Amino acid sequence: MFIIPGFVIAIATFPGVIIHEAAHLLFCRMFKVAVFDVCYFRTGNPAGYVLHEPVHDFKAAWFISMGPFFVNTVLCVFFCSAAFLPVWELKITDPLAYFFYWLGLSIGMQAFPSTQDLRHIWQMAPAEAKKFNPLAIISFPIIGLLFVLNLARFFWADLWYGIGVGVLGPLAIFKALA
Amino acid sequence: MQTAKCESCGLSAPLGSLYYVGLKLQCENCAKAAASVGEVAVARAVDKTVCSTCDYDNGRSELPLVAELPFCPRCREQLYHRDFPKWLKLGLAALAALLVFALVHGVPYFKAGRSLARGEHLITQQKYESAIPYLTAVVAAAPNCEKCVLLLAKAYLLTGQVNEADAAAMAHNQGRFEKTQLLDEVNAIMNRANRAGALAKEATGMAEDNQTAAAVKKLQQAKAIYPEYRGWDFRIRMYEAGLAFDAKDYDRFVALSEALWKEAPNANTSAMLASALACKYAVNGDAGYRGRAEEMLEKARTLATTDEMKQSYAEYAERIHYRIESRNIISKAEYDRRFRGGKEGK
Repeated sequence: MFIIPGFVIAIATFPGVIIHEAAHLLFCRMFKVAVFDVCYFRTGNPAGYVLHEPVHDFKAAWFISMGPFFVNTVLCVFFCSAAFLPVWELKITDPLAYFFYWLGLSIGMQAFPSTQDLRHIWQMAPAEAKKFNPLAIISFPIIGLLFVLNLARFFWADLWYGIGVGVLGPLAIFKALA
Repeated sequence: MQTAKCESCGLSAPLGSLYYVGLKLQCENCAKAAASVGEVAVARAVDKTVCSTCDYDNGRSELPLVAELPFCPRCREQLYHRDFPKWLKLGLAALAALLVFALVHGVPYFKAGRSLARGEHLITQQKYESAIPYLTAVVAAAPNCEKCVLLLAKAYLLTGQVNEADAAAMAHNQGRFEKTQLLDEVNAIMNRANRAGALAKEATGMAEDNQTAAAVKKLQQAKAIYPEYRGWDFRIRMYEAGLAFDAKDYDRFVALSEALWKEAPNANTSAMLASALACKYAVNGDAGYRGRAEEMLEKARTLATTDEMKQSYAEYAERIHYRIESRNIISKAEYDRRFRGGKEGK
């Protein structure tokens, strides 16, 4: 397996790190959760963080933990959509398209929630699922999958996720609109 | 501010400056000494009357806690309304603008992609003619897209437009493509078209040697190999008109020429009809045929726009005029022998 130090990946995908942390903060603000500290980007591990008070409301915890995953994924799809056709289908050499693809992939690669975020939801989900909370019910497969993908980061799962979303997302949009 | 005594040395100090070493409240020095002896849990004592952030002293009243830490109202407000830094706001605004720009920038690509999808869809529905305009637009926008060029070539080939297919393929990297299933498919159709083209060339040679019947057979073979070319029937009927002339079946000659002229009104078909009508006039002397023959010859003259066509017109017009004036029907070869010293008219 081709190993690249984490800080190099973080630098290469810094827009994704910043957007991920900004999304965490956004959801903290939306759910009125106190935030003690925010780091949008650094070369250490983790590359960014949001330190907030413990969240006991499942919906708030779910959105704060999972929100960045969806925000990054959607932005990845949008940016890659602008570049998908020239790069993949039409084989047009357009530097701007490649720039948008890098931006989209860097955002998509940083979509995964941390294992700490996932663990928090995972611990809260069973009790909520018993109350038939739909968010808790859909959390099980999503979190299970994300746990596996997080572990598979060693095998570039984050990159493959970015590419997958950056190709399949625009393809689906294109098929729907064309 | 609350004060408390170190449980080891009895020092009285602000509560916030003391530490819990295990369950024992100690001053900083005693806590350090205890911690150096062995592993014990050390935690700073919390004075709930002093703000954790700005050290605001609330006297004897405890401040509200956030995550078990006291915060003054101002600091608490900041915790719940932590603002995005200015650089981030600007960055996100730039990102939003960039996203709009990216999507606008991608509109021409989207249009080309949509044309490609439609062209591809029409090809799967075997509507090759309808696919051509879409694929032409795609190739104009994306000349390096091998798939697009090959699909266009395929559409051309399957509508019998071999020259256009060849031109489209050659315009891309001098006709070189990566080996794909689509390329194999296009090559297979092109090979069929080339084999049919070779037979058609043989048929032309035969017709020039007055072996019109054999030429018709060759063309029928070519048609069986590459039926997509729509000109086969036209060419076969042209040769059949020649056969009718040879067989002196002038009614059939007129009928076939009339049909060809209606199907493709050009200098050639006009001249052929003029020739057939001149034959009928020569046989029955009906002035109506003569008038129409002259009318068609005039049309052929006006339709002959290129130098080659004009030269061709001059050659056959002379023979048709002769046929009308003399009411004598002779073949081109005989005409050349009699009036052109055996040389072919040009």
